[in-house]
Formats: sequence, C-alpha cells, structure tokens
Amino acid sequence: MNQPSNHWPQLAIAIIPFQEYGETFPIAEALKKGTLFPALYQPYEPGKRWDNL
Amino acid sequence: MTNRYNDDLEKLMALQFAIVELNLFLDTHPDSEQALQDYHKLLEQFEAAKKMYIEKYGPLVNFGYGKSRFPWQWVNEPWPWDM
Repeated sequence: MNQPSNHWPQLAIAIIPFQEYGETFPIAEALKKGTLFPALYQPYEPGKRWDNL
Repeated sequence: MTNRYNDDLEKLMALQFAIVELNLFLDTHPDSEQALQDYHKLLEQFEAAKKMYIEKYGPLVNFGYGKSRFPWQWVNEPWPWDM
C-alpha cells in the first residue's frame, strides 16, 4: 500500500456509455418511475442477478 | 375538492419532474436540439398549469410567486399527509 501511485495495479476502469436522446415516458409515468428516460429505468429487484441484465 | 386538487397538483409535479430531467440531460448534452425543444414545450405547459393552479387554489409556494384571493388562501390546501 505504500508504493508510489504509478506502481499501483490497475484495478478497474469504469465505462459509462453516452446517453442518446430518444423516446421519453409520458410525464405522469415518468414521475412514478423516477426517470423520464426508458434507457435509465432499472427498477431494483432484490434477488435479480446481474447476468440477466 | 380533494380528488380534483390531487390531479391538478400531480400534473404540476409531473411537469416539474420532467423539466428537471430534461434540465439534467441538457447539462451533459447542450447540443441536443430535440431535448431543448421538448424542454421548452414542457416549460410552457408548466407555466400555464402553474397559472391555472394559482388562480384556482391560491399560491403554490409560500411567498413571492403568486397572488392570493381574500381571505389568504395559503392555509386552505390539504396537508401532505391528508392527500
């Protein structure tokens, strides 16, 4: 842990795709879903596995 | 008044939420003309809905943004937990 930072192993790279503008939810639905954008709608489902995404 | 009131308030909330969403989208996509057009469209609807709400029920926020009829209307609307 005390080695200089340029010797640290590379642990991970976060990659975030750039969001495109497209269809949007009707506004009443957006309010209930918590997002206007279908691409960002990912309701939390306990027990759901990431490899199903 | 409550059902009608809830519908009117929820319409405002939905418009406001959609506008904030577009606001945030535009922060990272300032060149998206379609998003800006939709932002303006919803903003116009929001302004109109807000005006209608204020005329019908009184001020939407406590001061500085809307008139009240006499007597003072601010305390007339149901409490959030009564809606």
